[in-house]
Amino acid sequence: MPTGALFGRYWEADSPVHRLDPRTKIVGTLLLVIAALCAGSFAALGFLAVCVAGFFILAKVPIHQALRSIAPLSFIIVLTALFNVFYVQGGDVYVDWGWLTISQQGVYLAVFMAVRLTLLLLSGSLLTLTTTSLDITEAMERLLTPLARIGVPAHEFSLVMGIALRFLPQFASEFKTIRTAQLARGAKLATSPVKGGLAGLVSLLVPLFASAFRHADTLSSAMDARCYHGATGRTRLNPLRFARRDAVAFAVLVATLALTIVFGILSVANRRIV
Amino acid sequence: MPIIDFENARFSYDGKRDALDGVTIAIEAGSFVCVLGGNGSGKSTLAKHVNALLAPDAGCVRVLDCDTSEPDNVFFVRSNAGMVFQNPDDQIVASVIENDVAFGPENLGVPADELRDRVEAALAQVGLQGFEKKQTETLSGGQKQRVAVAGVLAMEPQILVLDEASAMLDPRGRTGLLRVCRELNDKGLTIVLITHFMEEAALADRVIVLDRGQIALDGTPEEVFLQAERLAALALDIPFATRLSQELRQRGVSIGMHADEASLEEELVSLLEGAGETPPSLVARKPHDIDTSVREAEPPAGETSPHLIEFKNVSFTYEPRSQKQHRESSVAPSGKQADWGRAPSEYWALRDLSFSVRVGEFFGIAGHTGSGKSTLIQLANGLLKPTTGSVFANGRPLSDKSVATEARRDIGVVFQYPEHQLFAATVFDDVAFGPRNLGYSTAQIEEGYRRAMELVHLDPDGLRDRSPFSLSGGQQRRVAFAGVLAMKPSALVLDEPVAGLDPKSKRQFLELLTELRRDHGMTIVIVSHNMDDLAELCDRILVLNEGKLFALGEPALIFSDESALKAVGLGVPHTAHMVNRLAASGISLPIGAMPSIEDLAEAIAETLAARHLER
Amino acid sequence: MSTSAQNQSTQIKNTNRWSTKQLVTMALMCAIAILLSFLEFPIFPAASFLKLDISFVPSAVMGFAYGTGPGILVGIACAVAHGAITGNWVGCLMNIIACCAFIIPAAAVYKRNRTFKGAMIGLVISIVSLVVAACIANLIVDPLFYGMPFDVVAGLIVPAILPFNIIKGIVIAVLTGIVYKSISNLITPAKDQVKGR
Ligand SMILES: Nc1ncnc2c1ncn2[C@@H]1O[C@H](COP(=O)(O)OP(=O)(O)OP(=O)(O)O)[C@@H](O)[C@H]1O
Ligand SMILES: Nc1ncnc2c1ncn2[C@@H]1O[C@H](COP(=O)(O)OP(=O)(O)OP(=O)(O)O)[C@@H](O)[C@H]1O
Ligand SMILES: [Mg+2]
Ligand SMILES: [Mg+2]
Repeated sequence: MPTGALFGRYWEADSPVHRLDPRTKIVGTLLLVIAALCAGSFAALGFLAVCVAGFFILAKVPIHQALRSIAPLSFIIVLTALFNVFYVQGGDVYVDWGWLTISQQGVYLAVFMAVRLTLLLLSGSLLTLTTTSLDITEAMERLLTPLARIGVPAHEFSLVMGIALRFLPQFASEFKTIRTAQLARGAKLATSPVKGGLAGLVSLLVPLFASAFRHADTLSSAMDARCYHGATGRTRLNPLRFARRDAVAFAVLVATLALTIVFGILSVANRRIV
Repeated sequence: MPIIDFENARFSYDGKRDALDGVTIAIEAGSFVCVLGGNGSGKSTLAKHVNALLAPDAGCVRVLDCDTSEPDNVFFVRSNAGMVFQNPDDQIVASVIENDVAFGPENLGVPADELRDRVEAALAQVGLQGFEKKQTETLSGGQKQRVAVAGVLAMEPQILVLDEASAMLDPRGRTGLLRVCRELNDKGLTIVLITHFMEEAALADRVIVLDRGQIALDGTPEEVFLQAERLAALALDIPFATRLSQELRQRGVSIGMHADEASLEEELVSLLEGAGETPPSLVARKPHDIDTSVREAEPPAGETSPHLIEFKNVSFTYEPRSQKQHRESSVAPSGKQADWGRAPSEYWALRDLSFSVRVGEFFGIAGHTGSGKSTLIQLANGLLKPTTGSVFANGRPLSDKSVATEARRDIGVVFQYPEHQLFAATVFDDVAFGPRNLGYSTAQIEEGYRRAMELVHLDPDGLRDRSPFSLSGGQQRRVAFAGVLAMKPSALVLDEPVAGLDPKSKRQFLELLTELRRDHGMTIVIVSHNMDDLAELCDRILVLNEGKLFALGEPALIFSDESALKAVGLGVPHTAHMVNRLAASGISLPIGAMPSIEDLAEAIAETLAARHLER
Repeated sequence: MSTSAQNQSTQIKNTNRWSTKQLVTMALMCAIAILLSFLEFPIFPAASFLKLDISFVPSAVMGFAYGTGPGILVGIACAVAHGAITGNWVGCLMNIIACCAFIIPAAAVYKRNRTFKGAMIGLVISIVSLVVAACIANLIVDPLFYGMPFDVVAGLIVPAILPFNIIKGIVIAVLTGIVYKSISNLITPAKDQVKGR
């Protein structure tokens, strides 16, 4: 399969956002997601939208790429909007066909939620658009390290993620091969497990799992042979370092969150809808 | 003082059977040692002891004068004895090359700035400079294996152990890896090479043969390969050079025993030249002229028989247009990549291919890694649809759905490592999977199961309720093969069916194929990297290069042009190679381009005798 | 050989909670889980957005094989990776909740009672627990994040959320059982098993 088809999300560019420490970006994404959830009014949403757009421009990610990255989830946005349109009643009634009523509040809320969800997904995808998977796993390990003392397996978690991402394309192609081989033996692999029966699915899954155990055998020997022994005493080829720009970015993001909340409170008039 | 020292080492995985049964060897620093043995003879177990991945139950293993069973020594030994495994995919930990190479030294706690130097030095040693930032999954098998070697070298070890590291590579990848090993050995690294390829063993200083956990033979390649019967009993082959020297000696030619082809060739040349100048009348007879004339006497098999599979101007791509554009923008193809296989940015997997396979034929397909062999096979039974052009089965187009369904049953496909597709709880269920899908009756399924198991020489009753995963590797492959045979196909298409088997199992498997064709009239299409096998078995061979047809014809014709085949990453059978080498030294032999080893020996002996007479 | 290097190496100890082999197996299971999470199978062709996500199977298999901790770790790692790739962190949170709800009962019961019966009991409890957790999570998350009014979501429980999650739970449980049984041979190799190739 073509390289990283599942991971075609990383957008290579040389931008201030790309150069940020991945830890900053993870925390920043979280702040933006929280901001989107806290945005209590259109004013707040508008402000946040401007900020998010600003970050995308700063990251040199073209808008079509950004939209493409949330396209697979657009059905959630549409679904939510439809639900609100049909189920929320109040204010002027625009359409009333007996079984279907669309009122002002419903439309209002539908648009509001659609915008909020779009912002939520956009800010969520900014991380993967500007950070390689390697950096993400490493940053996660570092962020979780303080929790290691209370028993959170931080290093183990990031190792698992890292190896999983490394093997993802490989299993994807192995899955294809297995599928082809079973098709060659006349397997009826319907797309729906309910319709096609579980037998077809099992004939795909078991070889895949068996292959994982086979790989695990050698891979673990190979890692042991290269002196792998956990996190203690390990150095890094590209150690993560905070720079001044990280502090700046952090300040900007906190300000964004704070201002979004403030905008929400200021336009109290609109708050009844949330 | 030896760098690796086994003293009566014993080891057992299960407490019942010894995988190592009293092994005593001493390996000197700077030597190049090759370890041979059949499947399950304990080679990998031995290798893991050198690396302290395993410690002996009894006896003692000392590496660099450190006892490996001392827990305190474990990491010291591991950092000094690097190990490379068989499957390149199983050893790469990180998605980016430089991070993978740095994995070992990172574990050793090497400081960051020194790490960078080590990574660069290690990549340079295996000839992959400039690949630091590449994604590991974009590499070919041979390149991945070099990355694995680099990952070990970055730890600056003194010993390098390679456990069948070349088994999954194509000839070009294998030569490249061996060259790297030789270079490293010249720089003073001790190398322990485990292999099933006798020709690789011939390059070593010393050969150790294992059998059921014990050392069966130990000595220089010449000494070891002299004992042909012994080796045969140990499921091993002898290299071509040794076989030829033997045949020559039997014919009264006084020549030393050789394990290495180059040295044999040297001696032959000096012997033949010493015997006199080549008479001008003998020169410049193109070898394959003779061979084809011989073949024309008997009509080629199945000239009149119908076509089983026919490709007409078939092109195929895995990528729809839109992705092509996307990829072109994201990865710039580098010139370097092309040296080691097909550039991954190539759009067409197969391009404008036309050929046909006749009923009852033994048809071979060769080509470098990524040349499109597996793609071709999937097109042949309708699993993939050609992007342009058309494929016919029994004269009817596969684009017709009913024909495709029919072809899927009639043309059985055995994929590479077919045992990796086993899934059912019992052997019976797995073999019966195909027939069940075809809707056969219980009696038919039962009968099909028996017949298939008997065809692959497995016990239908004894194995019936065993889990396929509890069988040995060779048995698993036979079960998977039986699963295809149970559908009673009239033709078999096999993708590298003997990869990873030891020489004996390999020979048995190939005999099985010959048997199926001879006794059951099956058409057989086989993909292989081994030119000797192809030359021996096939009626016709198709050579692919970068998805295009490079050559098609009888083995003699295909292998007549060695340099052209070399250029596309393939070789020629050993006999043909020797004929060509001798011809290059001005000695032409009165035989075809594709002689058997006996014919070759005969011809050399005759020429020698003739020249002596001339004198 | 320099003694300092030797001394340095002697102090090295494996500090991981699990053996390398277990860790690697967990990682590869996680890779399969991520792969499966992108191969969603529609249950009803008509409502294609209701995807049946069988990505819990690898984590459940790990839960059986190595215990609750590894099972959950694989589940969370998969959910986080899926979230990171799609950018949908809310969905990631839902997945983590559902995954924990499914794996903990099965793994805990099977740990005490390593028999076929134990596995069955565990899986049945898991299905119930998954369904309950899914209902609660939908009641909390949907109003909060997707703005659906609480009573609307509550009204959807019986006609939509309940049947969907019951089917999902059963399919995952059945697959887990079959897959675990087939490959248990590989997890704890039989004594006479030939391997190495
Ligand atoms: N992990 C294991 N558990 C139990 N038995 C094992 C294990 N690994 C190997 N064995 C057994 O130990 C013996 C030696 O195995 P080993 O892998 O060393 O053989 P080998 O010479 O490397 O074979 P191959 O050519 O197939 O790689 C075999 O009989 C095998 O069945
Ligand atoms: N499923 C796939 N999706 C996309 N590209 C593929 C796929 N399978 C193969 N390719 C590409 O098509 C080309 C031909 O591959 P193919 O597997 O047919 O080669 P091969 O001759 O069988 O190689 P090998 O000797 O390594 O088995 C390669 O460049 C490969 O990268
Ligand atoms: Mg081995
Ligand atoms: Mg292939």
